[in-house]
Amino acid sequence: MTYTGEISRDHPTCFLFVIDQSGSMDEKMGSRSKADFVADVLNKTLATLVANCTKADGVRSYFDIGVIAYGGNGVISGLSGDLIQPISKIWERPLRVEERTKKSDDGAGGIIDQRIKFPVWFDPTSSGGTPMCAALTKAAEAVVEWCDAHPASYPPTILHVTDGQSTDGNPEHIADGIRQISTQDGTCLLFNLHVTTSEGREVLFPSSEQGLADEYSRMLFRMSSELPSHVGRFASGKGYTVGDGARGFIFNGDPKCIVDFFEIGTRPRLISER
Amino acid sequence: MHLQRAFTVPKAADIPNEDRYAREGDTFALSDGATISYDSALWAQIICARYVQSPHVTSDWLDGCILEFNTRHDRATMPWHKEAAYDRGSFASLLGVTLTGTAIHIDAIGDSLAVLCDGDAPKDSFSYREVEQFDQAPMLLCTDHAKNPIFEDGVLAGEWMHDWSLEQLQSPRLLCMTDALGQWLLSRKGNDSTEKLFSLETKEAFDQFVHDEREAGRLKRDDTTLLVFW
Repeated sequence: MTYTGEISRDHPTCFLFVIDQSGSMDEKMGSRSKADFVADVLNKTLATLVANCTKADGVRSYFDIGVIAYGGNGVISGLSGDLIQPISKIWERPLRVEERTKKSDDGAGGIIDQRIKFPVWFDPTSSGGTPMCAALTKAAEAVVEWCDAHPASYPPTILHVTDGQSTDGNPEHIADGIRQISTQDGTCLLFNLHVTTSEGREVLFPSSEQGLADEYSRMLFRMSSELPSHVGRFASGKGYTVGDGARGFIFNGDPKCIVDFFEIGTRPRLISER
Repeated sequence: MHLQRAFTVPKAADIPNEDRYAREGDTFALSDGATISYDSALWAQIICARYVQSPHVTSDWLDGCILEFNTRHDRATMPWHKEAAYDRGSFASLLGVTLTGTAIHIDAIGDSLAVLCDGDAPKDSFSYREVEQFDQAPMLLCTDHAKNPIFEDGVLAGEWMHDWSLEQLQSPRLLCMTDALGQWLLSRKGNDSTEKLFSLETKEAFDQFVHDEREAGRLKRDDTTLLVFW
């Protein structure tokens, strides 16, 4: 059986985020740009992963994390330090820790503003073209090396967020290659999220190309891995319709989709998490 | 019926065990602290200690547990990652057992399992009866009061409680265990599995059993605790 490996300090898994920072990411989603919103969700996701690994006595390295950003600055690591790092290093190295407020239950039926610390690792930028092929090639190289070093681990999950078409060629064969890289527990999982500010119809975790409007969306569908059953169950639990063979793919995603995509994509948590 | 044996093994030799149990007279508590929640061993310890002192799970009882947990931490001085983990809440199961001669009262929130036997033969279990139930996310007691929808008018709702009469049993016995062992047991049919657990007379035998089952891939690598009564 695949995708059943225990995730532990001896056998961590890997999450690699590949983020489009091309010029079109500056389009507004409500009051904020797509780049702003994606960066915020990514920072929140990283903070949640760190919190999940934090015990009273320290941070346990259950996950290795990497961020690849691509756009006008080419393809770069989104974090300082190595491209993929254990989470016990990530938590020490945010760019800054901001003070924010959130609404919380006061325990007596009321709502209070609670001050929280919000770490920021990844700042939004948006410029230039969309070198998706170069970004996915860099991702492939990184996960090949990671799988060689962790042959018994739950395989890497690559979460790719984009809003437009590649400007450096057809990325489909690179995605095919990524989905063939494997550990003993299965092949790498590549999930794709297409974000939009337009009114187009959302396509959420489809099981086939039927109903997809154009060749671009069909290509992103083909580039995406099937959801493993436990991830599919989690997506169902969040209210999505997940049929047999559903892919880790959202097209024309709105802000809620972005939040859910990151949460569902990072679902392969500790087997003994509870 | 009396407690005969209590064994516990951590998920790995270098990781602290987050299972706790406590006893006061004929009242027992077993709690499994959730692996990825903050200081869940302390949370499990508070739950057990307070349950055996006052085995009536009410909203006020839980508030007392939460207050004690919060007084043991200083959120204001925490670095961001500990604050975030602390704010998520700590989670733990509760399996509370009260023996009253001819009956057993169980309070069970979460996936720790009680199994009633007649001799070696299993007769019933609570709160799970099917192995598939372990695939669901269990309700666990949380240090965030809002995440504990288990009360009706301030007292524990009936679905979390169960009573067993012992009067029809020839040789009543009881096993209490945390989820890894519970899943192992409910995945097997017949008397072999309960017979095996009753046969483990020493800590060394229990450790060896856990080791062997983990190596064979039949027992989840998690903190594993067993209480045996007859």
